[in-house]
Amino acid sequence: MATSVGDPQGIFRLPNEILLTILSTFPTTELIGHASVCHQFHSLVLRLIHHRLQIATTLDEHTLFLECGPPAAKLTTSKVFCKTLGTEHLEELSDEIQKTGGSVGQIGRLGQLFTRFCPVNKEPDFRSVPRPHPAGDIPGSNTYMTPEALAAAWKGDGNDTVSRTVSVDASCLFSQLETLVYLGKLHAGTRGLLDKYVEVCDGTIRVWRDWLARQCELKRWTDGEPIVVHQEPDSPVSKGKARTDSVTSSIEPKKDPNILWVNTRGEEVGIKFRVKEQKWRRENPVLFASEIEVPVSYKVELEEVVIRTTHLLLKLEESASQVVNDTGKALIFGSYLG
Amino acid sequence: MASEGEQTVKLVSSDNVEIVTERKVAERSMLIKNMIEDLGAPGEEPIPIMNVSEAVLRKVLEWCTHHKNDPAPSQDDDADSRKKTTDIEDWDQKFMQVDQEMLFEIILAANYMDIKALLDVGCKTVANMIKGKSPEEIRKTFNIQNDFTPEEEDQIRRENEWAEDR
Repeated sequence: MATSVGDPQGIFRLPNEILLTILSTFPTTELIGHASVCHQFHSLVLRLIHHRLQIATTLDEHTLFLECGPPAAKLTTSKVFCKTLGTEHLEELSDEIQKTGGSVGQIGRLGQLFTRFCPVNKEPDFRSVPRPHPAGDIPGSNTYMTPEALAAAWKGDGNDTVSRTVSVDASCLFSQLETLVYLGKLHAGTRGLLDKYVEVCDGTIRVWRDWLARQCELKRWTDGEPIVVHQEPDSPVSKGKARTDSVTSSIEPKKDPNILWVNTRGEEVGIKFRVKEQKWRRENPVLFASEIEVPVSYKVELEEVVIRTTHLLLKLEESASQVVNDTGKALIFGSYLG
Repeated sequence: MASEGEQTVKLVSSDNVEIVTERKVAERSMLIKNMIEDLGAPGEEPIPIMNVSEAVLRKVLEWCTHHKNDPAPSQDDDADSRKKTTDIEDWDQKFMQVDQEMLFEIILAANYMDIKALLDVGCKTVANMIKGKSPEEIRKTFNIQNDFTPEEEDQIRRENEWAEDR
């Protein structure tokens, strides 16, 4: 504690656990304002918010879903599930809060935390898993997979990877991915029905032409492989399990060039992409004067969904307060296809 | 067991004043309830309530008398308590219209005597005094000294930004 008063006076005669009970009645947005009353309030508020964040990272029994694709494919893109990978630096910060008893600045650091998720195609929505047609495919077509890619896709976790095709039209500088991230509780018994729906974010991601080119080139230089499939020796994808392992080694989200943010401002929700391969349209000449004149198409893997942990907390709280105000009627979202 | 309602118990406050009250009233306090069960013969031996003065004990017993017939609280109430911050019964609200010192004494007594419902009402009352107030107003209400340096205040303003603007 920075200051110690000889004899606790007034409200501070109440023990901390009672003060915590009193303060815990406030929603986070209001609670945070009370931090600036005095040091003791600040440390109590910090403890409460820290606790709430820890609960938020477990998603409060919700499952995170992601819908991400070009606007044209909105109706055909199916939702994918997101596995929690963890929250960076949360444990370090927890230890620090324990040690220091809470100091000014730590609430701000809580606001810098990001929780990472790994999108997977897996269960129960197996329809969205890319499968080669049994009759084979024409090389160069949209769905064509080289034998190597096919093998990688069937090996281990490769099957789980969510990928999208991003195409930038001629004379366009970027293309957009419509992105909807939401939390839901799966209805017990009914396949695919969601009990509860909490929107985390709804917006678009701008994928710039030069970013795609840069990210793709980068891969080519680092591993020297042909661009069809990337098999970096310690690439998380090729190792399968490594993808779900710890998140401590990864770069800070805000500086990670692989992450594109939804709606670009705010940086609350982002997706980490891995630009896999460039597919040239057949009618294009091999040589051309200006890159912008040519439509390009890339296959991007959705490696991670990165969400600011406090954003997650505020959204969960918002929905909890709505449930209280509800009349008990519910909207049910789900896919009703047989 | 049938005559429990008419039984009386003797309580002794911290300033050594004896107060006789109905057993049913006193048993709103889990502390007293457990003591009675342990002692076996209620009414004969006075029960010391060490940390609570006479004035506060009388006030607490007033609340217990009014609530003596309340059903026992269920365990799963905890989850709902956050949602109903402002819901305080009219009678309880009037009961809690006391000066701050007394209010805190009641909360401390309820905590010590293990009367969960009274503790709840007390906490909600304090929460309502904080609700919607600016830090400056809260400091005024509870006579709290601002112990932040200007630099710290500035830092707090910046670190709280993530919860604003929405």
